[in-house]
Amino acid sequence: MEQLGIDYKLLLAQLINFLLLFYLYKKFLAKPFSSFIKQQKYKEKLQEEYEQKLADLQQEKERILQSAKKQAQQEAETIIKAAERSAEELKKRLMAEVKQEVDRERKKQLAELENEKALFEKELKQKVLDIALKLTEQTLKEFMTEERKKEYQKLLINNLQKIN
Amino acid sequence: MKIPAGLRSEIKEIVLKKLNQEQNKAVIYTASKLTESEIDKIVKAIPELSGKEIKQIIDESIISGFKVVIGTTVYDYTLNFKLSSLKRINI
Repeated sequence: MEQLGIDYKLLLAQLINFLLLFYLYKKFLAKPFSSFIKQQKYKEKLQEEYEQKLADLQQEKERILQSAKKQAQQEAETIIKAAERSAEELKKRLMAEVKQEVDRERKKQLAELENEKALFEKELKQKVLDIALKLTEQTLKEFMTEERKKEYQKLLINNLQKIN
Repeated sequence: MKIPAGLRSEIKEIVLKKLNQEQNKAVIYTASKLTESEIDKIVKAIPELSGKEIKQIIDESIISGFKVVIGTTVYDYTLNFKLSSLKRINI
């Protein structure tokens, strides 16, 4: 052994040293150290769990947001479509009312025109009649000489009883 | 304008008297003078004329024929009347 360069005393002293160190470690350091390690592991585990929960919550939040967005969009579309339909109906109704009003007005004006035309025609005919009668009166006045007047009178008187 | 009651009856009396007077008179408006026989024929044809005082008036506005007026009653046989009745035709 001495030929190999191993010193037994030194080896023994190192062994004792090691054992002593081991004993001291076991006695004084092992528990706190392992509890420290355990605590660290626990902390890490907790952190992981929290992180996982956080990630899950984030996902949930995203999902809820997306769903709310989608719902809001759908509702907005529904409202817009309903508004468009209402506007279209209102437009149709207004157009129909305007058309009716225009038709009514047109008929009224046509009726008024017809009335005016009839009135004008009547007036015109009356005027023509008046002029014709005046002309006839003038002509008769010129035509009726004294003789003719007497003759007409005679005829009238002779036929008076028949007239009455 | 309110007419007092007494005056109202007086006016009514005068008007009725005048009306009676007019009713006893008859006027013949004619285009040319009528002979006595013609007037007699007219009287026969219009019984209301009998017993009335008949007056003849030549009216140059009458084209031909005659018109008998007894009070408020008028018997119009003039050509003027015939022509004017044409105006009343409803065209």
